[in-house]
Amino acid sequence: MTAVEVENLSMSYKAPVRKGGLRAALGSLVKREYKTVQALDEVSFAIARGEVAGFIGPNGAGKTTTMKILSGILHPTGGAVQVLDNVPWQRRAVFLKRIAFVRGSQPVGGSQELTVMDSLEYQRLLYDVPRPDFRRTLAELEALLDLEPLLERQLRALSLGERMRVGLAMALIYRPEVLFLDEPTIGLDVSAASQIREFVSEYVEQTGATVLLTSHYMADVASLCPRLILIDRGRVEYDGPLAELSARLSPYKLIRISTQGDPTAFGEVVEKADGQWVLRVPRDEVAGTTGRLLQALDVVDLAIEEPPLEKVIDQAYRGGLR
Amino acid sequence: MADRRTAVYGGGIVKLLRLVGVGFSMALRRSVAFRINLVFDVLLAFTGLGTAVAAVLIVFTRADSLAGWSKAEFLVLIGTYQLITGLRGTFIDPNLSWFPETGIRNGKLDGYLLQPASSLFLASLSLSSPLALIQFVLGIGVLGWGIAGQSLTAAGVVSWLVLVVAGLVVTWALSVLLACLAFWAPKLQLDVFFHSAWQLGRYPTDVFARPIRVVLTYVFPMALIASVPSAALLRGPQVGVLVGGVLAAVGAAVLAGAAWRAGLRRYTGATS
Repeated sequence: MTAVEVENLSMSYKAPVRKGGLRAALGSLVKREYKTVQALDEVSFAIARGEVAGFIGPNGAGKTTTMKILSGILHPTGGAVQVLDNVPWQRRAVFLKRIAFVRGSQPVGGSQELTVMDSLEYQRLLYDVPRPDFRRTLAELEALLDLEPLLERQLRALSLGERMRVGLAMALIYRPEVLFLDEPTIGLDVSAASQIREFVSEYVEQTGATVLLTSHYMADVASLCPRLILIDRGRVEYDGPLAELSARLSPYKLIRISTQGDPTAFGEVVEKADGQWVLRVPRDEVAGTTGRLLQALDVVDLAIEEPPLEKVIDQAYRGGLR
Repeated sequence: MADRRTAVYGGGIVKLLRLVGVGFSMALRRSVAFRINLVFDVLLAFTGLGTAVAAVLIVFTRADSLAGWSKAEFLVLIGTYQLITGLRGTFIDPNLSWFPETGIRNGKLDGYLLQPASSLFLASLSLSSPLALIQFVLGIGVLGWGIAGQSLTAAGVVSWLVLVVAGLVVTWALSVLLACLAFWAPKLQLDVFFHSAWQLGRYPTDVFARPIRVVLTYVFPMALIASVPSAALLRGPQVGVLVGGVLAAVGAAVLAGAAWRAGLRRYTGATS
């Protein structure tokens, strides 16, 4: 069963353009010139129910635009989209009650003077959540998100990490089946970010929700998303498992060894510090090189690692995949 | 069928009223918690109304009538104006003021579009600021002072009520229309203009020269907010005025709804 189905999705808009200088500015009063910006170009993918997919790409790649279309805020200029068998931009109430779109840049909307509990209560009414369900979900969220100390506080007085927790609670109190998370850990410190990650994975495990998540932090993607969709300049450049992406992008692996000997002959040295070495070795030679290293040197410890995801992704953003 | 519509489009009127009610009670609890704010709001409301009443009292030490309006009639007018201003400040202003900035540029509208209820309702009526009701209460006081000793007819009172409601609907529609301009001209901020024009409502339209009177009655109907209902209360109902007021309210509301839908189509990119 698919939860999200996107077929040849395109989005273009006309943006006014003018050259610098007063003359051009005055000229644009009379005759406007527009440039068509292709934000999305024939994007296709499908996400099964219960799947967690990471949606990555450089700034301006079209991630947020896609999310806005999938959650019904924007109409695309072309293509077909079905989310839970609904066309999102018809914005039917029955559909809106089954999805949530949470943005890390503005996790909680609404009146900032309200307390967290008041805001949750308002959500209950707005989304027609029956009281017993509300109480049960709230108890779960309290435990998972450590909400208890926040309930009586005003929204505007919350820290960024707290706002994100509250934003998630407000979105999840009506138990949406599909979750669009746009950079949920942006600006958070290491422990706040990992708390959010743990929470998302627990929620998915408990409810079987479908998640599409964008992030620039590879830690988010690596820990949450078995599958990655990489888009760049409005096109899908990769769609598949994370491990395969790094294999495709980086033909090397890293061998980390502790030894008193000198392993420079066995591969390119990437790092070296007090008897700790990191060698870069082509993927298909890893087994052979490891064997020779163990024979030739007195090795205390040895580990084979994938290149850091950050590096791999950086390479993809800069150079593309082809 | 009605039930199905409700289930699909998210909201019978009962749910919307409950949302307003809950929003109001939350806002009330929050505002009484700030005692100093409360004191200042009461003081401000008193001063604003006090100066308006004082001006009238001073004028009427020198004259018995102004443009055909007696002192008592002027008080009724000021009371009615204050009462509508209070309701507007309570239920309308907290929503759409500075819409280009807060609604569109800061993305509040995106949030409303995600919620399962009418976006026009959420954007224009869901928030309230209960302290502004102080003006409403003071307005009733001045109104009472004005009508004391006057002979009122039941028909006059009913038509006053109808016209006040019509005036409120027109006020709501005007702020929606002004907000809708932001969909086409996001940098245009006309709130200041609206608030200044609103001030004209506190005078009977008869004091203005004819061209201004026509504008205030038909184009930017500030006359509807106080002059027309007050005249109906004191001088008895006129069928033409009543029908006109109700039609103006219906027309303005329909226009506001249409402008909102057109604006949203533009905002969400459904036009291109």
